[in-house]
Amino acid sequence: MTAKALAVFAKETLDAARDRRSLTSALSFALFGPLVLAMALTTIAKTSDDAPLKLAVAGAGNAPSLVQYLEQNGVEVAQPPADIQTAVRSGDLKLALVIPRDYGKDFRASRPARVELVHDASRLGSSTPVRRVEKLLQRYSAQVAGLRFSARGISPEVASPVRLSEVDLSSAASRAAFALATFPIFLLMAAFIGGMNVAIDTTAGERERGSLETLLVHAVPRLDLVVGKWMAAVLFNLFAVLLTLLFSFLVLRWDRLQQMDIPVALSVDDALRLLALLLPLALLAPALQMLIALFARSFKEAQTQLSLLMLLPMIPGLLLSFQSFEPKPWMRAVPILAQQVLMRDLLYGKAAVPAVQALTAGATLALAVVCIGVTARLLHHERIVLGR
Amino acid sequence: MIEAQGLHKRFGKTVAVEEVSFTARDGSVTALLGPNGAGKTTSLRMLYGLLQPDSGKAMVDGTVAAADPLAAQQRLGVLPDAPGLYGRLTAREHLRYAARLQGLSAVDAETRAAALIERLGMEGIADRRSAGFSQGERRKIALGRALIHDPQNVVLDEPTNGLDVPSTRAMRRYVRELADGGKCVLFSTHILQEVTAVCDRVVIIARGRVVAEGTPDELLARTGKTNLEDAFVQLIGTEEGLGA
Repeated sequence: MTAKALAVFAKETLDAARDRRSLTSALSFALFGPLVLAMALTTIAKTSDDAPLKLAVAGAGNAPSLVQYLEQNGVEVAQPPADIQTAVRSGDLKLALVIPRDYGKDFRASRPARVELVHDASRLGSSTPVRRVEKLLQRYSAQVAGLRFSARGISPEVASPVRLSEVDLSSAASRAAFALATFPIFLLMAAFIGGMNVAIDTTAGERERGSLETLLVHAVPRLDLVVGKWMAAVLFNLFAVLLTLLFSFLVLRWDRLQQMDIPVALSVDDALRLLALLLPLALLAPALQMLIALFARSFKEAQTQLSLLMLLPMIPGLLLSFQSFEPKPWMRAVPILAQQVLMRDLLYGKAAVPAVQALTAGATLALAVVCIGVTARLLHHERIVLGR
Repeated sequence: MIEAQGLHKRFGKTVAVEEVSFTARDGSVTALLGPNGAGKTTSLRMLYGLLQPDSGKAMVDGTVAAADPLAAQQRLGVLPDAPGLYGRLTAREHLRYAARLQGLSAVDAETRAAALIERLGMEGIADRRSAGFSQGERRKIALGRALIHDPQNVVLDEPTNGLDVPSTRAMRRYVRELADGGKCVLFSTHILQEVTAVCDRVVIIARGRVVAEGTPDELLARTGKTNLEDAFVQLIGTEEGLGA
């Protein structure tokens, strides 16, 4: 590391630290990812099938056996408010079952006895309990129908030519794991967004402001310039990654989630392992961004191009978030993709293979070095420097 | 000493500099005078190593700029076309940064920055951020940056462009002081007045070629005119692109 590269690093860090844009882009994302994770996990916990379902039933006395059936199947029957429709419309009540007075009469006469399920389909989170009540009512209906067929000497099976049985193995815990699989994507994005503004500002921004020419008339090797600028962007990147990791760590250890029985706690060890894994990536991202931004005509253009670049690593990331996807060996040597595979391994508790980790880190660092070298070479080109 | 020998540069099919040769000596101010678009900036850029000439060479104290740009830049202070300041840095921080880039130690950088702030009269703006500075203030920072490593040769690209009268006079005074102190000063301009005010020698450039070189008096004698303006117009062949 030369003194000149350090001088560039010090100047760019000072400059970026005074730039609200650079700070907010590093900070806001660090909060955004963990926040989304927290929201996803609490939503999953709330809509869990396993939790008892509260159902307001009006006219429970009209159908004691139906109510008893519901209670046997995990429904907590509650007293309805005076005006059910208003309560549902205002959101105070998610859903209510109304059993009319002539239910008993119709039931005894073997006519279809009407019940009403009052709900507001436009409200978020109402569909799961509605589905559960519907299913219970259908099952009850089928059970009674079966009894009636038997009483008339007909096998109940005649009335059900097809029997569908759904096997949904997902539980709150497994859905939480699915949400957790998006967590590496947030970490990865932090490593790309944290230093992006600095990477652009020190390349495309520098040329747009007309300060690149001035910078290049000093007796500084181009490599020193690029390395100094790159280090400043890396610093911001690491800052964003650390914060994201810290906030995620806090979210996953949050008491409320722990009580909900979602086994997602992140150990300190795992957090440190994630950090070690992200480190080479935090070094690569600014190198790649600077190289691309150097071709852009303006700050805005670089920003647009790099935002598109961000989407690229997200595609394999989404693919990987499905548990069934099995990574191929070559993926271990592809930077960005390899980190996602490793992070997934880690979160699913697969033992890490040091050689594989070294391969991933090595490939990533090698690419970073290439990017820095090419960027330094490009600064010799008249077209790049003078923006022709 | 700065020497240009047969510089030639083209961008695509456009020839920016056809044939430029001149010498700027130590202890004198040499003006590169020419209308806008004559190839002044392109010639200077080849001199300070930002552009590679297609043929010919630019030398700074005998070092060929294209062959060893860092060594040439070490002996060269440059005030480019655009000041290129960082809005979030103060005047002092600009000077300090330039000093470190030129290889000065942290202590020397501090001393040199303080000395230039005093010499260029920047005490009032030294520790303010440069966003919102006037043209004159910006140009002072840029000049301070060019002089930070006390270079033997100083190249200024239209240093008074866009400045008000007091700033212009101050800039000319600094230029004169540099040459009187033994430095080699080369500056480009399209303003005739500037030449009479500060220059020892003039290199006239038009359409990418040097058309005349000498002291103002020599040029008057050569053209047989009594004032410089008429002499220049005759040498250049047109009045287009010249400023009073």
